[in-house]
Amino acid sequence: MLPEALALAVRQAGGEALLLDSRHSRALISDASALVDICRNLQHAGFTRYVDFSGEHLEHGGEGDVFALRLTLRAPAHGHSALTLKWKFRLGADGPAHPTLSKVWPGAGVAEREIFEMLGLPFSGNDNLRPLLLDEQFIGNPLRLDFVGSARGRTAPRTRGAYEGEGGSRAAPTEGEAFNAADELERRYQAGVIEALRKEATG
Amino acid sequence: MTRTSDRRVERRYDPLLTEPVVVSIGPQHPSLAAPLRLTVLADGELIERVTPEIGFMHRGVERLCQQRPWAACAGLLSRCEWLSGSCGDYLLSAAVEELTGIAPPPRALWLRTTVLELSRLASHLFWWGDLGLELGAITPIFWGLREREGALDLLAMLSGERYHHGYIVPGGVRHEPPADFYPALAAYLARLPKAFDAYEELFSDNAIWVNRAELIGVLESEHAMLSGASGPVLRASGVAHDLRKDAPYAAYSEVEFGVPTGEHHDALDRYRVRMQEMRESVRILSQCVGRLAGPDAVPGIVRRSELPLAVGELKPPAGEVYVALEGPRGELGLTAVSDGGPCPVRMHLRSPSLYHLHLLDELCRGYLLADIFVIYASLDIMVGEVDR
Repeated sequence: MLPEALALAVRQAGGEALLLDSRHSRALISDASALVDICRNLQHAGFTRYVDFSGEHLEHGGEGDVFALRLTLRAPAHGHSALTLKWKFRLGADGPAHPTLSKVWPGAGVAEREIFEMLGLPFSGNDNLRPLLLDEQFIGNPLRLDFVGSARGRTAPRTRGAYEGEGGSRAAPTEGEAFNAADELERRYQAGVIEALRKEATG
Repeated sequence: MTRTSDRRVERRYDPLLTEPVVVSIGPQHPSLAAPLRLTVLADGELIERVTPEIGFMHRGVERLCQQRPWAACAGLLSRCEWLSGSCGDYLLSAAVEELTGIAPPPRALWLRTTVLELSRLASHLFWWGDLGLELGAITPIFWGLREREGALDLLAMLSGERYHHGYIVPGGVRHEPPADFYPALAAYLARLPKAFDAYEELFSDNAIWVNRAELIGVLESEHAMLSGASGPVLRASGVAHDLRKDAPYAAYSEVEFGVPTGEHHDALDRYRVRMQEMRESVRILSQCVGRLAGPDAVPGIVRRSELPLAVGELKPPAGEVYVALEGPRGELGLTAVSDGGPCPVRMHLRSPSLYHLHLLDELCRGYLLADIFVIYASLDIMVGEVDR
């Protein structure tokens, strides 16, 4: 049932679907422009249960970033069979933003917040894209290919035996000093990132 | 103050035009088992909006998985869902088996079912104790943890670990259980129904609890499905969906058990569904004992050696897969992408608690501040799984 329902839903929306795996009902949608219509058709065809929405950064280059997006649904009327749709989306400088799916499945709104903060892919029509898991001050999108890591993850490794009491000569830092050192690294890292962004913006 | 038919509170004319107040609950709060902030906009005691703020425990598990060998990812995933730590082990193993096309031997499927049901019991028993605690009843947490210790002891007999078992591995399970495991499991299963009867007598029909939970936090089935609800929350909304029945994994296709559902779709139904589920878990485990140690025991090995256990040697072929299981809180899923290398290219954990937490706003609107923790406890949120 699933492949037929999927093919019909995609065709009615003017798109095309390639079945990747009939056993697990996974399909690749070649044209994502009619995505919202495809989703509405699928909902009418019985896929009323939203399960999951996630993204992956595939390419980072001159013509923009390419993302793979995966949406998993279930059809309660057909034994809660699962269907995973996959499509690619290129986010260029002048290209359109990805349409939100939260108008079709309200649950997808939270997933879109996560995709936006982790991959930097915005969704037009979703007004609530504030950070979900990361701090509001955090700069960067950790699941992008071009993400380099934060200062707290790049602090110098502590060498065992360097401090007094461990055979070394240096006085061990107090807790406050260790915090200050981490904050200083963070500040320098953020200043560097802001400077780099400024340079990028001014060409 | 009067309540409507669904027990929401009717707004009254306020001649003083008082402004709503913002109440910040958490991130450290006695009623929250893990860090989480609920910012509540309230008009007096009437809730107008609840905004959950999460991420206090975010550890970047999905990013870390991209830099770890496949076998090492199981440890990270099981630390997202620590009350039933075997769920992460199972998801990773199922993803690797799906990608490689190597199925575990039948005996391993029964052992996996045993471990997953013990994990479910361990999680539900903690939930029951915690629910009482959030409502100001101190006895349930002691009783719940007492029975939970039995499940943890059994899991420790299998794996040596109480929380993060690592017993389920790609290709099957790590090893055969020790000889004294089955008698211990049978004795544990014999005493559980009596314990559940005592729970019901103490709490389930207690007028204080029933009055606080009945028709509170009603979630209609259609909205539940569109919003990503699953597991006991969805079943309490009247949808008889259980992955163990609808997409059976491990040995669930050969096990008899019921799928309890709710009638009124409220906090009390969510409680009753979980209480009945614990009894169904005992039924499942009794059948597992019969198929593992009785005269009808499934013979054979417990692990396929084609899938190496050593970290770094496991290299599933290129491909992508979505695997899911019916966890204690709902559909716990894993999207895994492999390029044939030693580390996954992308790993995404589908967390049921993330979606249930974001239903809190709609479930709480129109109720009283004191109802928040009844609704929150009925959803059984696991913050580690939300934050990842």
